[in-house]
Amino acid sequence: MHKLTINLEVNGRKINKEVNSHYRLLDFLREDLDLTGSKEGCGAGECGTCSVFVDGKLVKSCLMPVAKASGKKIETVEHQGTPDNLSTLQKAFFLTGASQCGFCIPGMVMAATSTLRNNPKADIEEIKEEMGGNICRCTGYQKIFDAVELARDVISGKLDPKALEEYSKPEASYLGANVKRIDAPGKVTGRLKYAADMKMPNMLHMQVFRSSRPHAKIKKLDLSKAKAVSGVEAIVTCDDVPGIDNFGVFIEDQPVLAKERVRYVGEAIAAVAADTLEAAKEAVSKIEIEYEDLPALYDPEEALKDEILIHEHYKTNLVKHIPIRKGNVEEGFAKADLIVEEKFATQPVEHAYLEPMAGLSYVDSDGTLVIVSPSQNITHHRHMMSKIMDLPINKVRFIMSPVGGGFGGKEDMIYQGMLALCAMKTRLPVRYVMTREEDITSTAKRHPSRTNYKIGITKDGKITAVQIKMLADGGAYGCSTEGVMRKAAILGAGPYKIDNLQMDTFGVYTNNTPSGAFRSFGALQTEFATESILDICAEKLNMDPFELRRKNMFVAGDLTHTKQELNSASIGTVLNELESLASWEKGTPNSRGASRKDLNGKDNRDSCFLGARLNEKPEASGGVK
Amino acid sequence: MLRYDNYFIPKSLDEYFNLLTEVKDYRIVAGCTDVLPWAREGRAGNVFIKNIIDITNIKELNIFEIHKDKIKISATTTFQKLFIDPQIRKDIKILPQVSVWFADDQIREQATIGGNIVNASPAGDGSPAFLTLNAQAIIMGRKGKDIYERKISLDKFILGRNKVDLQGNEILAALEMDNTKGYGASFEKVGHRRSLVISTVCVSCVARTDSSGKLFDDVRIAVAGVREIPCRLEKTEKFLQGKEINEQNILQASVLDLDVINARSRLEYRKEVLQNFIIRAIIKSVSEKIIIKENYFEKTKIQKLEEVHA
Ligand SMILES: Cc1cc2nc3c(=O)[nH]c(=O)nc-3n(C[C@H](O)[C@H](O)[C@H](O)COP(=O)(O)OP(=O)(O)OC[C@H]3O[C@@H](n4cnc5c(N)ncnc54)[C@H](O)[C@@H]3O)c2cc1C
Ligand code: FES
Ligand code: FES
Repeated sequence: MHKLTINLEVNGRKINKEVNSHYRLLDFLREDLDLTGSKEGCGAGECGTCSVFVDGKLVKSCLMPVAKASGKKIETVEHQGTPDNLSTLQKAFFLTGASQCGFCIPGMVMAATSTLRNNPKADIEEIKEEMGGNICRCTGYQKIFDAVELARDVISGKLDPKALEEYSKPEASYLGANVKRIDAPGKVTGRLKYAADMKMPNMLHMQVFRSSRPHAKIKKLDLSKAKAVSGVEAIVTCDDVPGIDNFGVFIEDQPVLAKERVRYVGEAIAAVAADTLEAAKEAVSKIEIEYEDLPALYDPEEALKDEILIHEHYKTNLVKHIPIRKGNVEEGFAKADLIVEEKFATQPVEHAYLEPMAGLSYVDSDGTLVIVSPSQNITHHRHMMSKIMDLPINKVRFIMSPVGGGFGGKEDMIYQGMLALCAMKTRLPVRYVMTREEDITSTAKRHPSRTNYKIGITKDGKITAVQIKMLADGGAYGCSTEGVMRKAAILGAGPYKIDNLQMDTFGVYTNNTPSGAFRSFGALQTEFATESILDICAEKLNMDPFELRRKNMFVAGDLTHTKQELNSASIGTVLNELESLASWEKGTPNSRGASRKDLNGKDNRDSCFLGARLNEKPEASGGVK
Repeated sequence: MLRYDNYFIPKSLDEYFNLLTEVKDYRIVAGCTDVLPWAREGRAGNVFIKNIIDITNIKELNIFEIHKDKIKISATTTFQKLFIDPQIRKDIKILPQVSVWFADDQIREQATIGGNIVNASPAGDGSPAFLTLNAQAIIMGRKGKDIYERKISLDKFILGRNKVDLQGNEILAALEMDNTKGYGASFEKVGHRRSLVISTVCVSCVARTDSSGKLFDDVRIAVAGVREIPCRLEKTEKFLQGKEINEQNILQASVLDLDVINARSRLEYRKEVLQNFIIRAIIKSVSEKIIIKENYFEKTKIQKLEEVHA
């Protein structure tokens, strides 16, 4: 690899070093200096997890070739404070709890530091604007903004520094109390190591060759040119799996690497481990494949016909059907004054955790296979891995690295198997870090759904019967489809007393990207239909939507849709709270009250503008000759 | 991933042109904010270019001149410079306004105006703003031993998506633009979110009234995002010239150039937004009060537009 020499100062240290010439500043900081507080959330300038100061100006280090940094002064999050000596801003982040998964937080601390350095008196609009290049997926922005405002006030002397220590002392309950998060100091200082931040001596880098076809037979896979690439230590395919080659959260139907057939675009076919990332990438580009395309299924309705089978040995594309029956819907509809029928659809959704998938695998001195990854399901993964690798369970260890956001997306074991194969084959540590693009194309999404809904309701708003049929696209592999269908069925009709209910959820295989766990786990898709149809009913009945819900909501003693008796029900409290927070004016959903306006009404947000730092408001700049 | 063997940072034009004669496989870069994201999966993928030539340190390209009528700034000027420079802020108000909507503070520290123009994305924000300043592209090249310079108006320089009028070893060196001291300005932009967003529609407007404050004197409007090449709205501009500043005239003007839209998707949406942006941009550029806060055109649009169309 071509090298160049750079001379620069990093966090006060003078450095003169040979580096890979194509490195970005981010690669240099992370790989050569181990300053892993700067993260790579996207590699494309969009997320701000890589923000560092270059000659005092905050930039995204994923978009700066390292050569440009030569002769400059670099300052990273590691320079802002240490866990036992936090900066004012870091203390404020700690106090307000602005560090959930923590993956975005080093970048946030940097952006906040830059904002307050540029203007120690920055107001909230300015803070929002200047931090606009950094995104957070889990804390949400409020706590982060609270932290920056708090730090600003302490720095300016408006607040006593003691304000940074005002944690609550929880007595009986931790609920609602502001307790110290013991993990926060490591996160706000960028010291916490996520999987991609870890490194071991002689570590190899893994890259994956993926399917470009939605449904095809693999006729020929030629690895010879790839193997010839210098630095390649191993290439693994399904043939390398020693044990029972399948995994899955509910149904174990997915091979570690595609076997004979690919079922979705992005499916892993072969994995390369090489001494450098570049060699691994080059080898992947030299893998040759011949496909025989098969007719593909993209539509779940089509899938139900079973004319094309995604997994032939199952003889059906149906992954799971969950039926629920309560009362008698025919009788219920007969009692209704109004019957509404509607169709609802939802799209696939990407989890977009800020930490792309990453893992590290190695074989311990006693032969134990170790996998370090941000898995949300390590015990199950360990059991599956023991079967896949044909190892006794005590020879498989899973270590859960800090999860930089998961939201259900890190429940599937989709890359740990490949890592294990490479580590076992080479007996060297192997690391794999997905790019954002690879993560989006190859990992599971929220189930896209289609719901047919029929509801019967009386003039005064009592639900008499509900009939729901939801069809979900499970994609190429089972993943969490079974559980998701179950939750969708159990919860979908909402927190309402429905004596006559017929609920059916179906999950099917298609050649789309697999669908998996995503927070709310199926309930969202069907509940979206339920809440929407209730609003439609409220409109048709000329009724306030809160009122309609109150007439039907669960109370203690009611039977749920699956006939458990409820000891308590909180939906009433939730509705009251919602109604007041939304400044809801009584009336049908499609009416406009007298005092509420679309813009500038009470509790309505101002329309969005940028330019808090311009001389004049951008609304008017007034040019006169 | 972008890979290269050599990264050159020439310090002078001579050194730069000499390099070009020595190396074959090369790409010039400035801020790299277009080039690096381009070399990723889903776009160009893994790219190998033997030589990268970084033009941000060429001493002759360090131009930043503000004269009474014209300004001349180098292609390597960053958008953040346009955002923070006090004189620019005071006199050429459209530049900080486009900058605040451009990417984010961090990208702006790197992203150059030359890269933005040469990349020639239909959604690029810089060019419509420069067009309202009657920008001239100053291009430099070398024939044999002689460095030459040519000037071409920006609207002629941009030829199409990712295509500009640069020949052989030519480089975009600088922009020469009107000093719009005394003009009001407004940059309107919408995309999927507020920061870091690609324009679905953007409108740039610089304008001033006559000395009475009652008539439009000079109104210049340009759009991007809705067609392959950004353009000025000539009919709208001409119509307003010398007209009284009132609702009726602004509304009438706002529909005259809507046929410039030539987008592949969301036509109706873009049309509606574009018209609203034109109205808002004109109002903002000539008003001294904050009219928008009072929801001025939202009200007028609904009631009056039918009349205008009729
Ligand atoms: C997260 C993000 C957000 C963005 N937001 C916006 C936005 O809001 N609005 C917008 O318009 N753009 C946006 N961009 C795109 C990009 O930042 C701009 O187009 C920027 O101005 C490009 O300049 P650069 O110096 O980085 O170009 P580079 O990437 O260095 O170069 C771009 C191209 O221009 C050529 N080039 C550069 N300078 C010259 C020159 N002087 N002469 C000849 N050729 C030259 C290069 O060879 C290359 O082909 C965004 C990019 C990112 C990553
Ligand atoms: S902005 Fe650099 S990694 Fe996302
Ligand atoms: S805490 Fe911000 S992304 Fe998780």
